Amino acid sequence: MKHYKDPNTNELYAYESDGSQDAWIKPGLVPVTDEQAEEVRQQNQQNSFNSLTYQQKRVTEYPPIGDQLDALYKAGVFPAELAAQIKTVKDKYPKV
Amino acid sequence: MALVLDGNGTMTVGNGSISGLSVGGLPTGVINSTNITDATIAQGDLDTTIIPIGAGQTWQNMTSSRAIGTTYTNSTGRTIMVIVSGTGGGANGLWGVTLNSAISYYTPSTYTASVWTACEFIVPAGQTYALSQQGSNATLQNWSELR
Repeated sequence: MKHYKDPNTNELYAYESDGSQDAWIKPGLVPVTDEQAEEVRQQNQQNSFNSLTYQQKRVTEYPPIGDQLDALYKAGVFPAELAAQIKTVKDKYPKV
Repeated sequence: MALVLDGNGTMTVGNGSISGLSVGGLPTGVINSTNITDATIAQGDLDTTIIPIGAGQTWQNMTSSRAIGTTYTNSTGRTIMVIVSGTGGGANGLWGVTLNSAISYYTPSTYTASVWTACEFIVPAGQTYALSQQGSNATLQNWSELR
């Protein structure tokens, strides 16, 4: 693929490198190298991430909810009835 | 190529000029030589309107030639369907789907990292499509297109 970017929005575009999509290239785009395209892509993603609130940033890195609940089970903080249900399933499908 | 239905109810395929479609007085659920005079359907209409998506198309794995945060153009002349799956996490969803430079939708919030998320969308002929990362650590796993 060959890459172009919109100088106004920094939006990155890709077209077939064999020229078969040249007629579709949006007017006003400027060509960029593959390296520049990757820089634009990363910069856009970073800008998007920077715009998130701290709560939203935390969510992207929390461990899976299943792992969190399993840790609570292993810590023995679940009610007896729920812990018994979980243990029944664990016993039914033991680790191999 | 053109698909031609004449006033006698004969449908032919071949080269030919394009003329207007004349349909009148249609009884419910019936199209016959009485209420269709002459119809010629252009190849472009045949490709984008008459032929259903999927006919003559195949699923192609485009993963190696697609990237997050990049806008692509459907220049196939046909409507295509795209299915993308990947892993990552984001309170605003992992993926944002952009069609013709307008955000169409975000995938649901994942609440944690490393969650598999997929999205599917249809791209009409001539329109652009892109997938953006809304959260972090998004990894593209599979990008398939019916084209």
